Amino acid sequence: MPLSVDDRLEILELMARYNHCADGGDGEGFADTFTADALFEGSMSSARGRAELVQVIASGGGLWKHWLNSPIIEGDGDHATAKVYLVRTGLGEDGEIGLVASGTYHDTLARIDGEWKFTHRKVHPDQ
Amino acid sequence: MPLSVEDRMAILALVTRYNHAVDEGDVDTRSETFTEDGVWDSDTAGVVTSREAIRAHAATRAPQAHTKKHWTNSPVIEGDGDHATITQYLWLVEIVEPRRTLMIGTYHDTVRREPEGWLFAKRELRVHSRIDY
Repeated sequence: MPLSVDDRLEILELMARYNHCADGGDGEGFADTFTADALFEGSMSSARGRAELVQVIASGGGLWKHWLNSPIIEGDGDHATAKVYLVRTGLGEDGEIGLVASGTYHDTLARIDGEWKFTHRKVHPDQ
Repeated sequence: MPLSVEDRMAILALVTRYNHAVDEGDVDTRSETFTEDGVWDSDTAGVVTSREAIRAHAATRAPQAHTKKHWTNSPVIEGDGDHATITQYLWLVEIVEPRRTLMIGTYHDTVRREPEGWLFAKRELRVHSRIDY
């Protein structure tokens, strides 16, 4: 069954919740956007499973904001993939507010107990 | 018949497919977002008419791939039946150091429902501001 409009909106909201949790230092909320055994491969760190996912964020937060653009979401039934652009804004080493990093997320998602979650999220940095 | 929510999502997906294709230098996917008689009219490239001509134009730009990203924002979609227009902002950002903003513009798009889905019948890009790059 093709993804419905509801599925697409739920996946977009999952991506937004990830941003708010990552930027706000909410490790538990961040881990909630992933399945229990998910793999996260960030530009600075990796984590597999809930305990590690909570820790990835517990050590940070408050420095940046994540912004997304141009999501491509494809899938069927309870499985989906997504590609979405990312920039992180914040105070740079030069003292200016600007883009501190950019890349593209490559995501694999699954619907577990009626909720979409990331099973794998990998950042492909632009450079 | 007014545009459905599904139509609006499909039209937004067409825009994002274009963004990724142009940024990755994917000439086929970029040109296939246009109808066979599609028109690409931009302040930077002039007027290019037909999917084949757009494909040839895209091939000349492909070597610049992976240095910029097209971010689109604030889409206004209006339409009826098998025809729609979208107006949206473009932020063209350099993704290699020094990560500058290269251009700000507005896309004025006309899209049409074809057997393979919604496609651009015409894309107009009007540049608002641009640096030399």
